[in-house]
Amino acid sequence: MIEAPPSQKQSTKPHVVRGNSSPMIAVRSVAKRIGQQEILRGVDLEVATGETLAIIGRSGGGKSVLLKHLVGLMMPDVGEIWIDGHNIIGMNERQLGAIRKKIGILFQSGALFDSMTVEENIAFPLREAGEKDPKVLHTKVEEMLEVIEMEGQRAGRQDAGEFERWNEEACWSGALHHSSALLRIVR
Amino acid sequence: MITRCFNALGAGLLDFFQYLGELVLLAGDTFRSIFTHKLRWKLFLNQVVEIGLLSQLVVVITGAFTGAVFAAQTFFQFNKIGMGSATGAVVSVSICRELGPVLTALMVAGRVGAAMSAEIGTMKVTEQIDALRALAVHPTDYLVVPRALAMMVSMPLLVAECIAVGIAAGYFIAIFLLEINGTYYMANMVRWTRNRDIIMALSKAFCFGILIVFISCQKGLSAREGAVGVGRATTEAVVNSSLAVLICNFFLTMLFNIIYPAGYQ
Repeated sequence: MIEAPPSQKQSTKPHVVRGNSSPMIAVRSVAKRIGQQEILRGVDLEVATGETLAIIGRSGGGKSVLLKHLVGLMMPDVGEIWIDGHNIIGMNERQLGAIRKKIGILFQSGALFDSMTVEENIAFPLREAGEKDPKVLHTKVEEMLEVIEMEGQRAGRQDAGEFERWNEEACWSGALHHSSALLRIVR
Repeated sequence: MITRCFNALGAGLLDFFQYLGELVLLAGDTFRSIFTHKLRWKLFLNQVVEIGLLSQLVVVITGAFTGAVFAAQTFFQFNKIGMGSATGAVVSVSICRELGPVLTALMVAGRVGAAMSAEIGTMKVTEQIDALRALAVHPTDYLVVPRALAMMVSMPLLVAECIAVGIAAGYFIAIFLLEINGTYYMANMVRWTRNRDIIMALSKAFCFGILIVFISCQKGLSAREGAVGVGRATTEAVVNSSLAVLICNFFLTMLFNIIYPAGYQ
């Protein structure tokens, strides 16, 4: 469960970058219970534009749950979540779409679409954004594959399920698997 | 103990109505999306292949053997009262109105419904659906709409095929095995099989297809707990779809009897 530890109660005031801009992300008194277990209680934080915030904690502490709240994949029982000046609490799935286009999230297991090849996974958000030209798609995908030194390799044309097995057999770190998923969210 | 019984009954009823509500909401969202958002034609065509084209063998076998056995059983009974030549009419009308749509739907529920719920359920438990949502792609638009449209197109065609194969198989069994007079068989079949029977068949096919696709997709979207949850969702999708088809068939039959009363020519 994420909650401010007692020894730090003196500094529970959220860190705010001084300036004229309101925070890009603001979480106010968010609480979430799943079943009988309280995962989040009274969580407050603010992240200003250009600021980097790292949330660290033990396994099962609620880090992923908090992140899912920030993109509206979960809704809190109590509290508010503001993204770029919009309170996402109460928004329906379609309204959240506009907010989610501003956010990239990398899932713990990568969550590649295993019905598609790795290239198709990377091209997916480009296609959904309306890009239809196959040459443009191919160029952008190859640029992305070059970032992880996979351009021209067979791995890019594997379906994602086969890619995961190839990834494990090659004893490469999960970072490569996650990189492909990361490239999917970079637009 | 009585309190516990009532609690259990009440909880079960609440769960059932919640499940019905989720189905209705999913259906509403799907139909709204069909008319307001872009259709993913490639996904739709893929699903037409999956549902329609790849179900050919099972539908043909179902239709053929159903028509054959029904022709045989009908003749065995009708011949006792000297009405063996009426077999064609009975087989044709029965296959059009009941056996064709229902048996096709049950086969499709087992084959296609299971695949849909398993595929979507696996996506759910591996966070692929969350990934879709995070990429601002509505799961209903991407997963359910293509399947629903493909089912609405494919089911009537599959039922029509099943009926045609069933009637043909019944004819061959009647003529070549049961040695019924072919002229009387055909004459009675043509005389008593009307447009309304075809309308009933295709209407039932459409309704059954909608039931199967929404029940299967809803089960997939609500799958939980990894492989066990996906397996449970798949089983429940097939069972619920099959039961829904059988129950809906009864009410549709009664409804059509109001629209086309018995004796209506």
